[in-house]
Amino acid sequence: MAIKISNTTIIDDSKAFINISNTSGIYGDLHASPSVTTSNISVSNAIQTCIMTSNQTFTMSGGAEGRTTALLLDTGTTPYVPTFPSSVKWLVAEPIWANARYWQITFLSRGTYFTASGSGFAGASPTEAVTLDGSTSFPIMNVDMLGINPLEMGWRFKPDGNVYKWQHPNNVAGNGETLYSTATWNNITPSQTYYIKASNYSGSVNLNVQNSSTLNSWIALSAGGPTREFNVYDTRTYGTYGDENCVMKIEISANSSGSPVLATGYYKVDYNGGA
Amino acid sequence: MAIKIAGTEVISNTRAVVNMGSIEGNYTNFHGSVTAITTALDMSKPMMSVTLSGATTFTASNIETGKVALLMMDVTSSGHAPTWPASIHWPMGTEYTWDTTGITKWLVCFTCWDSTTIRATATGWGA
Repeated sequence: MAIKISNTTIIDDSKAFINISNTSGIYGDLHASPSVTTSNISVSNAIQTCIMTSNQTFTMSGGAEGRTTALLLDTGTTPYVPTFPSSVKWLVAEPIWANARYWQITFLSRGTYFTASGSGFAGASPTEAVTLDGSTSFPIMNVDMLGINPLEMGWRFKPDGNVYKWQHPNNVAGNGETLYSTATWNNITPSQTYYIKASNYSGSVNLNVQNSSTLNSWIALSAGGPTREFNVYDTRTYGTYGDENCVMKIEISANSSGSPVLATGYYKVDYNGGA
Repeated sequence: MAIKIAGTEVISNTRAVVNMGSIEGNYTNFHGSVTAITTALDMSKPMMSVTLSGATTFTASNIETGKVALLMMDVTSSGHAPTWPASIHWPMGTEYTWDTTGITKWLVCFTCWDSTTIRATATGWGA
């Protein structure tokens, strides 16, 4: 039977102490029950755990002044990038999340904002490396053929640091977007803004301007930014052309001027015709 | 007379709250009892203390997700060296230099991430 004070339950039938206006004394083996969070950090929960499966923007709640919580954050092997609201004020500066995989973050509510500090633990991410594949003699291949007119296929360089093949699903056995490499173009989630430039290198057809990101210019490529993709787009009927191909030259720099070039790669689109 | 819920004591005759399912509310003067230890770190004890009299190898027990425990450790002016179990991990993989000149008193905070991993931080003082 529950225990009540003035008709308010203070110990319920599950032995939970609730509606406690004040507690004093000494405690021994009394510890917080951890809760799992994916995006919302409540300072009403004493300990929260989060294993990130993608880049994540967190929100804060339960912010009565004086409440504290600890977030045990695993950014994964990628590692993924956490983003916190502007109401979180960091000790000196926001930690560089890419420096470690595991983070222990303490939040203290000041009512309208939260002070926070974080400690990073082992599992530090690998040193960031920007690389590309393929050579002029052996460009990396993406092979497909026209199914439903038109044909579209190419290569995608995404803000997660990975390279993907693109084959429009209307192509014969078109696989849509498929992961080609996590080791290139960046072995981790990019820590800064990089710049990519694509240009036609060789082949019987050229990249399509309308269906590609801007060609022949250094355009930004960064975590949280847009995908950069470079495609061939052919509206001709299958039987009117022979086998076609396009080799694109891809360059990446850390500077918008393109100097110095950090990596150069060659990627090929190859599709069969019926003529 | 002890108070029981469904036959289970929740407040003992010594006014100790026991067998608690959970607690929600506020507290003011509510602090962990301090347990003097020699080598055994018990994550069920919220506040432990030790003064090292020589190089000391610690063990850890009762590791469960979310448990937090503090250790007040005095390495004395001799700078006795503690050795920690492999379950304890330090920020950026680097253990503190416990015998740093002028630093004798350490507050070490242990947080259990799961049933096998403890992540710890420490702050040292000279006096």
